[in-house]
Amino acid sequence: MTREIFISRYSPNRTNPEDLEAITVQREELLSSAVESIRTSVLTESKHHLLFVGPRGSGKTHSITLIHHRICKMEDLKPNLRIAWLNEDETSDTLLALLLRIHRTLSFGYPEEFPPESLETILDLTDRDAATDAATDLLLQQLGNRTLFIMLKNLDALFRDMTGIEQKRWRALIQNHPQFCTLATAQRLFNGVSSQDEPFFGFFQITHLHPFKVDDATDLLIKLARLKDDPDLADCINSPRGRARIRALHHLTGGNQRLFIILSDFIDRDSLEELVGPFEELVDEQLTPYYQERLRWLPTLQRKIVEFLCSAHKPMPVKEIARQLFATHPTIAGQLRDLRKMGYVTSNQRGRESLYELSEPLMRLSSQVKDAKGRTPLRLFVS
Amino acid sequence: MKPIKPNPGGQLAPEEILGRDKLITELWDILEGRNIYMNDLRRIGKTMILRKMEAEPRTGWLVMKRDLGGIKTAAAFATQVYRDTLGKLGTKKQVLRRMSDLLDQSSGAQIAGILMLPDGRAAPWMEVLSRTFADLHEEYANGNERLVFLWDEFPFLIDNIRVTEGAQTAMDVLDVLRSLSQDYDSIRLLLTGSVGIHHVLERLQEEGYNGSPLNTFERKSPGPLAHEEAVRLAKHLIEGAKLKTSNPSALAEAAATLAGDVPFYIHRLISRAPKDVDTTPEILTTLLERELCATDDDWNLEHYRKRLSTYYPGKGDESIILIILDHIATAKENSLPLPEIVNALNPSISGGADQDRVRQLLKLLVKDHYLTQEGDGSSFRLKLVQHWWMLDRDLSNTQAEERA
Repeated sequence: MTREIFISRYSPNRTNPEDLEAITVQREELLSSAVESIRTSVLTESKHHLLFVGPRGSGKTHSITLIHHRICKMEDLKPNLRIAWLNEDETSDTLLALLLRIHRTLSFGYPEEFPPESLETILDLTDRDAATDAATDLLLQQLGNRTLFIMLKNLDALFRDMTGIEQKRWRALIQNHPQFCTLATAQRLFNGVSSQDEPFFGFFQITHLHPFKVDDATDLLIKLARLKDDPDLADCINSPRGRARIRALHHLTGGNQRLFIILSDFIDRDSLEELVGPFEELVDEQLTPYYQERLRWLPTLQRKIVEFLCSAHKPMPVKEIARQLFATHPTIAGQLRDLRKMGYVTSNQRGRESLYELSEPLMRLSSQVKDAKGRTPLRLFVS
Repeated sequence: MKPIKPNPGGQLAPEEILGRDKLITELWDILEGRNIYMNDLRRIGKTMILRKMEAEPRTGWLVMKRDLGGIKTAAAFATQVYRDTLGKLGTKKQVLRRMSDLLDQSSGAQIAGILMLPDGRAAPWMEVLSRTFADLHEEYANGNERLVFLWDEFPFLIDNIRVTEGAQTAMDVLDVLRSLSQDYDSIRLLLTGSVGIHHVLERLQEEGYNGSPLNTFERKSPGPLAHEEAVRLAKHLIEGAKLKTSNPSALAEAAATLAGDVPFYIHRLISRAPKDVDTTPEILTTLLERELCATDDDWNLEHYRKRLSTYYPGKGDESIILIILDHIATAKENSLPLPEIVNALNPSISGGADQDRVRQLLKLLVKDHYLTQEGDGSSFRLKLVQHWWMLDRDLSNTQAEERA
């Protein structure tokens, strides 16, 4: 008999943090180090700014949720710490917009210290620079000597929306008032933090969240079985068939954490149909529309490149992509550069050659699931 | 030894800023008599030097530190200087007589970060700057204390003003500051910037500027740490990162050397070292080379290659510079004198290399921090850049031996 445990597949911050703790694998070192950095930021004059980079489903939100949970449990930090975990769906194209977003978040968590009505006079200002100065002064005055821990997802999107001068203003604010520390996530490395020409070059301590290895995926499933008190899943993982399935699915998913959490519901099914069917349905209904939409935004040649990489089972060199698409090497190299900047593909060096693959294995999978209708390659592979 | 948790790019506590004591003493000594313009590569540690100077000022000095990178107009700059002065002087603000006269009943009211006059007009920025400096001088000229403004990202400020208000205003700001810094001996300026001020000035010169605003300033480039200081920092960081290692001294030596003795890169390298194995110098070398060769790395040393065409647009200059840098990168003792550089260039240039032109280019490469000149020889300023250059240009030590 299994007990009901809610593990959100798409919003780990909605999952009970104790349950997230129970299923954490591979990242313990990273989590403790990040918690220590934030703790140091609150207790000393040293201020850390952390950025976790990884594709969708790689465990970024899972990680920052746990860090938040652990920090909140530290009673000794409470007097000197205020936390603003920003709503990821809001847009901030200026420092002013970011400051207002921070203030509104603080107002929700600490209404007496950051009363919502204190923003009213700022909202009446018609000049944006005046409002920015006023919002800065207000935040600093209400914050006092405490450290503000800002958590935000999709930092790449924030940088895309902010002009260079707004980024410089934000950086200057942090440098002039060293009482901020940051924990951010991004789906890919982006120019705003990695180019020497940008104000925030080298500012964030960047950690790439690596995909799970087979052992990590197995550990995750074991922990899930324990958490859910699910003996069927535990038996399956320990069986030769279960281990083979994990290896096969690891290959298909590229070690994506989210996908393994989704798969844990199906992996112990007796028949292959019971395993692959619901999984295909889930991918088809929930992921394919998203990826189709992402593909639709692309110009034709870029779309063809992505489609080709979806069909390839290994990283491909530029030369081969060009050959398959009847295009020249420089044309494909240029398009790949753009796709890499947009986060569709990643590349790895092999000698002097760059090998390209999809950044998100889920994209390939959703394409394969769509292709698989009636031909069952996914079933064949898993079996 | 006190462990220091690696914090690449973040703000360090003043006691964690190691290895800069000698330089900071030198900066204070210079400030006794002159202003300073401190320029160097990004992430070399200029801001942290200012932070330490602010936290631990020399006796008899009052420090006002400000990052100016986010200021867009001359008026906002002047207002910020006045605000900082007010903030620092606190109860002494009644001494700002000239500024009080200017603002009169407006009590320093600001709109859009700009001081307003009683009649509702914006206070002229030149007046605000001049009166603030004059008031400060009056306060400090006969006392035991002196005052220094530590202004970070100064070239950004000038470029922002150029973009927002036009080249003429940017030129005026430079000229006014030059004049004020000469007129008021009790006030010193220490300006820094990661963008070379000469590149900002070049843009203004294209618009007709012919001033030399910083020619009375002492130029300083902090550069990497002294190697033994870099090793000392690495030891603290290895402790702070809780790395497992059977030989901490060898690992610290390797980290400092690989990172070219630059604190930021030492922090970064150690922060990324694996924590679950006995970390050896070999592991650190492999880690660094893997990151430097990755196509989407965040070291961005490619920058040093890419910007050559922008920085050196003269006909054929870029290809000459590539050959120069290739030869210096693989030179014995990592350094080459001018005649050997010319010899190396001769086979590639029809009619042979022009020695004067090569000398000029070497000077520019020093100015842009690619190279450093010691004695007769030119060598890479940062060993890390040299390391990357060899990897990127596929230059091996074998080539160096063949050339030798």
